[in-house]
This record gives sequence, C-alpha cells and structure tokens, in this order.
Amino acid sequence: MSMGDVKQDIRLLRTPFDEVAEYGAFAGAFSHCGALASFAGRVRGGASDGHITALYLDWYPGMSEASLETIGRDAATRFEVEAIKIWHRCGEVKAAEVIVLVCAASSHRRAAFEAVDYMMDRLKSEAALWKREEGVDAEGVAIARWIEPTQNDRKDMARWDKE
Amino acid sequence: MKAVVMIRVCYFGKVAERMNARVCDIVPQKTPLTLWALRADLFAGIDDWADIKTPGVLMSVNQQLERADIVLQSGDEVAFFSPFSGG
Repeated sequence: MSMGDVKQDIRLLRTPFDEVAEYGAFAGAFSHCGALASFAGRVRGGASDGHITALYLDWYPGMSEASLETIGRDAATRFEVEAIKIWHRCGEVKAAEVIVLVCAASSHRRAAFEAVDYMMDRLKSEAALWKREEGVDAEGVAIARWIEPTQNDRKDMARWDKE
Repeated sequence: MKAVVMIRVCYFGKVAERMNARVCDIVPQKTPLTLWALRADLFAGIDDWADIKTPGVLMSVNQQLERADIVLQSGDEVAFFSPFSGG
C-alpha cells in the first residue's frame, strides 16, 4: 500500500473528546483490518512534589498542525498500515483528561504496534507544542512550570534511527 | 525610496512567558538582518535568561525551522520558542 492510500485522521483539538468513542469509530471504520492498536495519554494528577490540576499546551497555529501531519505521513510511509489517527489536545487540559489518542490499523499486529509506538515517540519531541504543568506543591503553594523534553524522550526517539 | 522592512515576531512556550509577549511587529533599524542578529537584539534587554537559554531557543521563519544565518525579508514571520514537548 502506498502512503497516499493510507487514511489519515489528524487533528489538533481545543476541546475534550471521548477516546473510547473515538477509538470505537476508528475500529468500526477499519474492522476489516486484522490488527488495530491504540494509545491514549492522560494528564496525571500526581507529581513527585505535589498535585497537578491541569496542563496547558501552548501551540503555534499552522506549525503545530503541520508537525502532527508530518509525523502521521512518516508513519504511513514507514509502516504497512491502512489507517492512522492522531488526535492531540491543545490549550488547557485538566487532570485525567486525554491529551492524545493515537491509533493504527494494519493487516499485521507488529506494524500496528510499531506505528503507534513510533508516532508517540515522535510526538514527544517533534510535535510543535509546549507543555506547562499547573497545580500545587507539597506545601499547597500554586506552581506552574514548563516541561522540557527529557533524556528518555530523546533516547526513545533515537531507537527509530537505528532501525 | 527605500522600502520599509516589517517583520512579525512571535513567541511560544516558556519563551513567550519570559518575554511577556506573544506577537509584535517590528521595523529593524539595520538591514540586511539575519535571524541571529534579530534574536540578539530582542533578547538584549533580558537580564537573566539562563532559564530559557539552557534548553535552547529554537527559531523559525514562516513556520519552518531555520538556520541562524538566514537573512530576513520584509513580511517574514519569525518565531522563537523552547524545545517541543508534545505527546
């Protein structure tokens, strides 16, 4: 299957969505595929030094959407998939809400798993978004801090360069 | 008559917070102007910006990541931001 045949549903959303319903819609549309894989990331309420109430994801209109599309296009080229889905939130995302949903449909489980894994690793360090944690620290004082990409994020991304 | 050079500057993420600005239009005093020279001018007034400098400040022109030595053109949209942290 050429990349142009791969169905891609890629969105940057300012409002919450129901990841179970969205996964269901994806699974229904590609029920003929033998393998469906998905990952949903949520805002953790806890932190080592306090409590997170929300994330704020800053975004650059146009560039942020384009970065998601690049990641989706690269996954469609790299893996034998029939469809992919990337839905990513921006703006304020409250604790326990979904930040990101990534899905892949393929004839084979390995391709579906790997496509989802690859897209998440790329999103962590290449999606044009900037996360700020908001909450309270262990003493109850309000905190807001920007999250930087970690060494682990870079290591995760580097795995794909070797393959 | 010399044409007026106007450049739109945008900030995102930690850099926007540190600069206390989101978008502004500027008319450079000197032309030709490289991206690096613009960055130096804009950040010259920041007393302590180690917190944004340490992870690095990325730069784009018209929404494409660019090298610092690119010469800016009138109408360009330049953006400065910290490394991405999506997902």
